[in-house]
Amino acid sequence: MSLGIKVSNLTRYYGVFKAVDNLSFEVPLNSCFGLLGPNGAGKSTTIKMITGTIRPTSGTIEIMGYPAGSIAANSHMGYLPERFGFDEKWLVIDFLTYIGELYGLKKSFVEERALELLDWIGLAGWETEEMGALSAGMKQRVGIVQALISDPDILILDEPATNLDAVGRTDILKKIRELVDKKGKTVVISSHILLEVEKVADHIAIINRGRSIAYGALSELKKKVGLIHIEVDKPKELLEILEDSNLVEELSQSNNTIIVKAKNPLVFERFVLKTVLERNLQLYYYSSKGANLEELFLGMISSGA
Amino acid sequence: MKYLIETIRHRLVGTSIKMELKKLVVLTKEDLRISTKSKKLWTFIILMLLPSVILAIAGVLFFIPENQTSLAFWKTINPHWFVLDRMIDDFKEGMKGLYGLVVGYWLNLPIVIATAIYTSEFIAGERAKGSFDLFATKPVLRTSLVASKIIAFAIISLLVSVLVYILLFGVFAMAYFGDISTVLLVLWQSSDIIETYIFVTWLFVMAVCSITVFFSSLTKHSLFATFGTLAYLMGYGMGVSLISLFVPGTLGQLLSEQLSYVNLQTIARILLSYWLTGEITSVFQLIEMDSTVASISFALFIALPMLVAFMIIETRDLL
Repeated sequence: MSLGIKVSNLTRYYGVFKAVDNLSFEVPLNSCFGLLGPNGAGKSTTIKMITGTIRPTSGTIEIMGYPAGSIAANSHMGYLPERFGFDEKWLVIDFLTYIGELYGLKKSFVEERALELLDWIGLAGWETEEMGALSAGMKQRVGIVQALISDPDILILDEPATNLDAVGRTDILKKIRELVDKKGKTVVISSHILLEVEKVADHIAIINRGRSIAYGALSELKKKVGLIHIEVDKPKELLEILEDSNLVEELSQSNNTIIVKAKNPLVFERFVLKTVLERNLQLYYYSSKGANLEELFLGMISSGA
Repeated sequence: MKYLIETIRHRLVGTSIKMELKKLVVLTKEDLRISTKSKKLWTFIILMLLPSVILAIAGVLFFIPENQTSLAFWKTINPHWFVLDRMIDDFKEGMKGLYGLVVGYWLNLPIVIATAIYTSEFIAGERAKGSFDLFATKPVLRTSLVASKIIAFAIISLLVSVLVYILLFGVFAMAYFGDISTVLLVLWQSSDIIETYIFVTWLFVMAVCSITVFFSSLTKHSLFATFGTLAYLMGYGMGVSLISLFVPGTLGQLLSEQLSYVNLQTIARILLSYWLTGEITSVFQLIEMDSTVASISFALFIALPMLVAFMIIETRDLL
């Protein structure tokens, strides 16, 4: 598995405050990596170290094999900061051209590409507007376009869906996923909103107080929690059967809902359906969605891991 | 020091001098184009041109019509060209008297402030906006981002300085000689004086720019950078003049003389006077200074703060 980004034992102090504490993770090429954590967890500090704006106190970061902060690493990378600045009087196209030229690209080439990308992101016809005239959501989209202007292998997006309304958010997340699936990009997305990351990420790292508390493929992490909620007309009967079934790790009941942690969710699901049919029970509700990231996330953070 | 070298070596992975220079040229072009939209730059340009423009207007309205006949008058008395040569010599001598105006205005507060306000944007202002921190994540040296702005400003301020003195000399020549073709000849013949004024003014502006860029590299607040420059330039000059008040005799003289080598305004005045007249006379301070040392000092004023700023910005964390 070739790596886009490799972070090893990353530590960063601000004075005596340890913002990032011995963090390690790897981002495989052509995947989407979610960096999750509550506010102040050290996400932005980590991202800033990856993009080379600040240097680690210790530890190393490699981007496509090059040290973070080097010209070589930066040339493989497009970055959307959480808040990015520009001269309000710049025309959108001038701003994008300038960014393209920082990558050493030809002006005419960049202009063409900028128009394509603006069209793709839904801002066709806005290229001759002043940056100051754009709404917050539009600026965010221009921000994504500037990160993509050089067609980089790696995209670093710091809170990409902030400033967007619900529709815009879904749209942008879809576009980000499209970049991974259709264009073969490697995307790192940082967010404190779990639902966002859940929609796009293949791998995640959850960090809290600068330390990694969970890291791996999203599907694997989800399995770790794997809570299944079942409601039937006769919960007691089902509960007894499940207790004897040898398929569950944990079993509990709250009101009429049975909450199960299954050893293997797929096998368990078949077993429940078979039982329901055989015993002629009425199934009101079956959900394996209890395994959403939110619960996983909140559980991990509150357990103080 | 080891940290500095390590950081810079680290950053240079994947680039070459040739590539950076190419980017520098492209960025300078962009910066030239973008800077024309800056109100602060226009304030600088207007302040630079203001005295010349006012004099030009006054000249056209009043003293040019009054004096227009002088050359014609002299020609009726003596039609030979030597009259014109004499007049050109007189004119050149007279224009050396502009020294006072130049020192009092272009090498003084108005231009220092206008320059500092505009050039403090180069790092601090860009950082406050957040654009610098974005551009710094692109494959380009932070030094190139700043250097391109300095070069663009150098080009603009040189053009403006040329315009200032061409206009100024043109107005006086027009008043003294009366007709355009003679004025062009006169301007051509007094180009050595015009060049000196242009050169010193331009270098002075670039030195102020360099000092401001240094202060600008330390902070996100462009006001701090502006005030840093002002405080340094004004405070230092005043401090040095106070020394001769408090320290009596030759020691005070010696101290203030030595310390003046790091006073930008004094150096600029002395060099201007030296290059105009071949002598070092300062109307403001009685200081004897070696012109070579003054030249070196001036060059250092332009180069050193800028280089230190590059080192700082290339290696510091952009928090």
